[in-house]
Amino acid sequence: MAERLINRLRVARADHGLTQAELAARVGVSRKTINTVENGVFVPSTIVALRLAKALATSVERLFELAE
Amino acid sequence: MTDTDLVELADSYSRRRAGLALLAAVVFLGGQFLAGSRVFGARPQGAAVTVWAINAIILLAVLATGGGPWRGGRVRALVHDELSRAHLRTAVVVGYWVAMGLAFVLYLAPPFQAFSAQQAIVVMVTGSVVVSLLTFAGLEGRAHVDG
Repeated sequence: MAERLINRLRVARADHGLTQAELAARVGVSRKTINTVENGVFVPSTIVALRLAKALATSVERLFELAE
Repeated sequence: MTDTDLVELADSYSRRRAGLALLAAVVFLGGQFLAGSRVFGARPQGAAVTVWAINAIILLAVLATGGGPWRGGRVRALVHDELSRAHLRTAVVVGYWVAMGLAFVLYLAPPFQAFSAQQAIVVMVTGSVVVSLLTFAGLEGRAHVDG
């Protein structure tokens, strides 16, 4: 069964006042990766999800959640 | 150069690569039409066949590696990050199914039109490579569009 993933990356990034490029630089991925994750087009690997959470000083569970 | 500058540079390379993939697909396919029977004839021969084969090998190498091996390590890692690798995988899978589809068409065609092995190879490789490049260009181009 395909499950839908809710992500709050755009909001968390905005809360930190970061551009997509600045967050990408902190995480070590391309800007388009941040863009596609924010748009729900791309589901990142566990490693990138953990790096995103660390860069935004939060937990993976706060950034990503399975839709009920 | 700051990390953000590197990301911006990688973004620029990545956009250019998507455009070049589209251009390469069009030029490669267009070349087949211009070469006509020199490449797609029953017994293809001459420089046109060699040019076709070299182009095909180069484009397959680009699809296998993502291209740009001469770029610096950090920029290349950003250009070829997990999203681009996923796009390349998708493009190659789509190209594989196109090759399988063309193979069946060529297999079923003999009652109407006989093809030599070389013609079949040209059709399958050209179709597969062109569709793979177009798929990659489309996925990468769409990833750059801000949502």
